[in-house]
Amino acid sequence: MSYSYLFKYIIIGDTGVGKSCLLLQFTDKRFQPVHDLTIGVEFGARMINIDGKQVKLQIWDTAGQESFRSITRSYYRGAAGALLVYDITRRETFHHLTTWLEDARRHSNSTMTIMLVGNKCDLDSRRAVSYEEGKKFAQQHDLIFLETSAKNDENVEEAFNYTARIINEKIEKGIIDVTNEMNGVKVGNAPTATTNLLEKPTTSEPKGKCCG
Amino acid sequence: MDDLNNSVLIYHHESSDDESEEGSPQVVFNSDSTFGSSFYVRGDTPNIRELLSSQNLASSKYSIVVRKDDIYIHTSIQTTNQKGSDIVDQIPGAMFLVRDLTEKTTENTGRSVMTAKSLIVETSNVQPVLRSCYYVVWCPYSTLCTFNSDLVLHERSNGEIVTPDRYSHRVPNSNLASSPSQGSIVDISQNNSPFVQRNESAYALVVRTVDISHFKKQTPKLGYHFLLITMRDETTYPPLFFHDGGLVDFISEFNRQVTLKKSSKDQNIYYISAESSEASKTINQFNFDDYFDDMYKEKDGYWQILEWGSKITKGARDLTSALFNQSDELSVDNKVGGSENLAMSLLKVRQKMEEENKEVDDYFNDIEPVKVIDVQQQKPKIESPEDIGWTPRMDTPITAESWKTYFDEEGRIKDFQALKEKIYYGGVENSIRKEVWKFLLGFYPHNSTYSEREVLLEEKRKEYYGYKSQWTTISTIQESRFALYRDRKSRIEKDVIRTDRTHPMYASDDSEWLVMLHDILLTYTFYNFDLSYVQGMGDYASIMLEIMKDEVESFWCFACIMETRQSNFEMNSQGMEDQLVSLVSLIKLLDPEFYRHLQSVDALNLYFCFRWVLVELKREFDFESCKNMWEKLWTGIYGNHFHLFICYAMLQKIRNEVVTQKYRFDDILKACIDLSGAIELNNIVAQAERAYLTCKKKLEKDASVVDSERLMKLLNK
Repeated sequence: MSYSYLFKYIIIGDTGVGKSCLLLQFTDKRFQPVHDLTIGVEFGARMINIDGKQVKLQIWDTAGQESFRSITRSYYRGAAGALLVYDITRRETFHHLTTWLEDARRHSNSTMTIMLVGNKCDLDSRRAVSYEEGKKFAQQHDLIFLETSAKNDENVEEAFNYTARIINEKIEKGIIDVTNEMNGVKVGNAPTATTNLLEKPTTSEPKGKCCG
Repeated sequence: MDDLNNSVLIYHHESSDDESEEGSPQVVFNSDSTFGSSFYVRGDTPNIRELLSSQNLASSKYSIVVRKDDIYIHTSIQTTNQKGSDIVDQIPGAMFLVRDLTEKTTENTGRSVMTAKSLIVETSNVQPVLRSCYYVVWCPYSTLCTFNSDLVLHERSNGEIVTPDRYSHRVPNSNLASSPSQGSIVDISQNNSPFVQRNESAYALVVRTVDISHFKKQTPKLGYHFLLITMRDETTYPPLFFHDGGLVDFISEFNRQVTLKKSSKDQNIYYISAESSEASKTINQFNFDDYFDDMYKEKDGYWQILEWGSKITKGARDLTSALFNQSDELSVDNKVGGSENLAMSLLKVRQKMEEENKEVDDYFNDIEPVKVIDVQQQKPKIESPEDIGWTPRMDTPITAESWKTYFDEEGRIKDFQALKEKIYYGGVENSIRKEVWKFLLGFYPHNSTYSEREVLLEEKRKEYYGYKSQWTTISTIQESRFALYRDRKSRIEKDVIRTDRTHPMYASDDSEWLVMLHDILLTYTFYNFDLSYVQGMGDYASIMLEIMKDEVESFWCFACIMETRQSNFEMNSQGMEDQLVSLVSLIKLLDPEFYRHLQSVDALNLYFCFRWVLVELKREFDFESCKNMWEKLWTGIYGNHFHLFICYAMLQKIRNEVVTQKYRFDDILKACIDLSGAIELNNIVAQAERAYLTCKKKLEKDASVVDSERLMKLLNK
């Protein structure tokens, strides 16, 4: 099966925030409330479409517990995107974001796109972190932000897709060097120009000229 | 249509030139096989406009053989409508199975024909069968509106006629809204969602059936039925929701064109099998069934070798790895001879193709141009069983009856070593496991008498409840000022409900065993305050509880386990690092070629074995096999680090794939994850035993080998 790009993602965040559930919902469209806790790392992959390009996402789902942090660090290497997840019903998972972020920035390459994800937004009655706080944190740290529910499949697609769009844009702008695999992007075997499902838009049309 | 065509969505055909002018990244056809296994198919998929254009359909270039309407992709974008409530966005479209009726006379296909012929010529004299190719297409109606709106017209199951007008408003009047610039905050939950006015064509899907592994149908009682497409490399596509029903009908209609094979394990999974009955017939005549039946049940079918254009390499890869895994099995039967020939043929085909054309189909890029012979030479030299003094031994399990004979009158074990050997080679019946394990783990001293054990158990019971009362008596007020306790408690609570829940004992949310597991782990944090609780401990405790069915005994057996594994769970992971370093030494000694490869891709940290080592392969086997394996480990017959030899044997299962395809860390990790549940215990234990003895022999021969001290420790009993 052909794809134009392969993006490597990593999902990080405290234990029990729903990292594995987000991955499972994204790749299998399932919510599995009972699954074994992650030891080490687990894996998922899915194909998405960005601007008519087939993009394969290769996603590494890590263990959240602090004792395994040294292992997790080794997976940052060569990731193009990271989903940094906290649980909106547990304030401490939000407090730990700073540590996660420091870790991620220190061990990843500088072009890695980080999406901040406030998961479990279906549990609004138990909310301990407001939407505004999440948004503010994201603004302060230059992150993209979404609240999701892996349980109800809310914004799960968007969390992964949106990150991919930003990565794609960085590629187009030349910010990410696709020839360096350490940037977490591999060029696929589908020539982007000729085997697109639909051909590329004409160049004369300004991008995003109008969005209604 | 003209209006639509003038919109920004219009694409024009000479786009490739524009792209390079734009300064877009240059597309590199990377044949570097270090990219790994995921990289094996060259996309020669036509674009959707070509496949579904009225022209091509009218001229019978392509033909729609199955059609299903009102299939949606749910993007679950949270947008806000005027009333302020959330709506979930759903894109309507139709699904088609399109048959390619063009003569396959292109250069590309020419090669494929040659390939098929070469293969056949070497295995028999039957002519190859060419087949037409199919594409599975899902296209949003709004996209169809832009180039073949006639196709939109359809009748719903309730008799309603649906015309293109219904979807014309969905055709975007602008190109995709641009993504925000890097670093800017994007709040896509709000009104300014860049997705609101979007180009739905981005969701269109075209895949060749030859690239599909299987369909999975999901028919939830509530909500729409949907179909998941999984490709051969396990990649999935967004689910396709059947809003107008008919998922089962669609599958049976599909099956009439392209043969599907229902999985025996999961009734909802349909594997794509031979697309042409002739092809499978042809190959069946050779009785390949006999050769590969076991290897290929439900996996990539051998019959697909004949499929035009594509699949030889995948087959070759699977075959060769199967072959090499097989070649060091204990009994080599004639099946292997057959697969060897075929594997040789496949590799010859590849070589021949390379000679003829430098730009080999990408299918072949994930197999290195190595001759079979070379690969075999790379394979570490396995000492013959006689050389290392290894003989296969399989005893009968210890029964409840025979168990009694191992004790003297007062209840002391007469010959603990002989008993351990018997356990190692025969295992034990489940009914006596509880007793056996208490001895193996050292909770009961083997030279204790019946009465001494009774006293011991009573003392330990009191001791346990003493520790337990330390936390059961913590008041709410105390707890509110005891952050450390709260933290540990909540971790355990969160993890217990994620431990072995597929086991009947733990399946129910209000299972008393879950409470007990929680209490055991929390009490342990008071028994061993410094170590406390770390993820992975629950995996051990849950098995103890499953065997003992008693909180106190489970606790103490668990505590015995932790005694020797404490360092694995300490904050600095020193124990884990230490073991992984030992495993590296073992690989270096027994399989230098593999070692060099791991070194060259900077993968010597062996983090892909992390889970194996931390919970001693528990997650890689089913519950029963795991119990059996752990018993073996605890006997110490093959030393106290035998699990590392099992890890080595596990790695050997994938080492050829890893070395020949130059896997990097990620690929190796993926291969390791895939081994879970796919390994037969007795086989892997036999391999591990031989690795142990080979290591021992090498050290005896030459004590000066690097890391000999470390390796000697591994052999220690």
